[in-house]
Amino acid sequence: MIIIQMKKDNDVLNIIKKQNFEQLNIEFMESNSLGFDSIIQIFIPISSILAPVVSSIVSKVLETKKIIIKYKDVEISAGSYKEFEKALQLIDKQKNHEN
Amino acid sequence: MINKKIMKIEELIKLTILEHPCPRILENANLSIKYETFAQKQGVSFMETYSTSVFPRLVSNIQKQEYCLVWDNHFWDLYQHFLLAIKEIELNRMNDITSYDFFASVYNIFLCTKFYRQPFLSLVFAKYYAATGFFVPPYYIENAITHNLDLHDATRCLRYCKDFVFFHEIHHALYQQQKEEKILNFAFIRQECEILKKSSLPQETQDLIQNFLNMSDEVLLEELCCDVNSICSVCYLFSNNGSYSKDITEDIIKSIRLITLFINNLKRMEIVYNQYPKTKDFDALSESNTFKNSIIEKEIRNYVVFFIARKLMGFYTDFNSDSDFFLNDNMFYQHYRPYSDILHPDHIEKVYTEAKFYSKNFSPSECSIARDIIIGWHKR
Repeated sequence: MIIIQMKKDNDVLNIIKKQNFEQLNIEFMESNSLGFDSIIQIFIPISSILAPVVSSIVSKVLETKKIIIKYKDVEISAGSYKEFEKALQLIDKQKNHEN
Repeated sequence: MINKKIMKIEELIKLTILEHPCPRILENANLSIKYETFAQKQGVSFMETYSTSVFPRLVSNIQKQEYCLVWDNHFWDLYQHFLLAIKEIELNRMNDITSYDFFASVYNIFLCTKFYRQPFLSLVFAKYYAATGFFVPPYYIENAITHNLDLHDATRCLRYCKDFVFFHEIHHALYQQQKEEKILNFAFIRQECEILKKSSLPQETQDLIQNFLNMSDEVLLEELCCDVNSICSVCYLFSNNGSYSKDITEDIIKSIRLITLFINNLKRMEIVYNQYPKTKDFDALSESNTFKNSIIEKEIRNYVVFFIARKLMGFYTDFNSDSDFFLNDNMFYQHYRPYSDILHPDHIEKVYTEAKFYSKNFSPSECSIARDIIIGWHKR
């Protein structure tokens, strides 16, 4: 499972709510700690990471803010789609190394 | 066709956090049961952890149908140490040098764990933490901290703070579900801000409140409502069936001011160290919206919340004495020095230079291992 984390944003929330993720086993969570870090976390099975719906959300978010990609104890931040792709390559390498 | 596998919110949370393999403290069993029972009645599940996320938090699904209060004991572990140092200073039993190192160790271990997934940076904080000579939490004397808090009569203060945080998060869930009819509404907070603005406040504070009123920031309004409701809930809990004692109320407010100060310090440090690599410029950082918003939020919350809470409890609000609470205190000075040193541009630059050195000379796993040994974040 790959987790994409971003600051909470109503535009992003609206996009998420409009999409149908049922087939992809994608889950969402909102977290707020003591009024400071309001974040959205998207849980994506590795098999669904390249789905168009994921790319469209990520691209939309990256227009205005950075995202953090988490995989096990690895955390990579990305400020552009190119960096996001690079992060996925690194995760893929890590996954292969584990296997 | 793929079968949709619905994961429980607790399972999802477990995926996002890194838990200490041997948590050093757990919540008191009786209190934990009380919180869990109360939370469940409000439709919120309660989950204890000891993780690198540090702060207690409210987690929900996007549809706001499922809520979970994540009670991170790591935060309480750090706060207990902060509280103990404050109490020692109040009794004049801790000198400037000792208190400096003590607070610095709490702040550095916090940064070390918050940046845990960045092993190079995290190792730098671990080394600064070790250099203070104060190992927090002192796992070699695990029960001593509770014993010392009892000696200082700080256990009560700690309980007020825990209740405050607990009720604050529960009220968020109630607001979002709009379940509770009796909770304060946004219009009430706005109205009280108008009253507060007209009182004899320094111009700077009046401007701040006016800015807040102009912003109509609903997120901050919800925070203020939850803060005030939470203080009232704690005071009610320790009242005689709604008959409030001024001494107890003031004791509760003092305790809550202390925890909000601690939270603000930690959050500010986290924001600065998060933002710095992006700006590389401290002036730009101070001008950044995230940083400014954190200051505005802190100031507004400090000014408004205690004023309204006291008023609701029927006590006269001496605003000036409240705003001077920390400024005239030796305690403020002593906790502030290490905090401001950690946020000094030269220090931040030094930290990142050292992290860069590690990244060039060592692998991430080498740094992770070294860090874990220093902070005791490994199986013993």
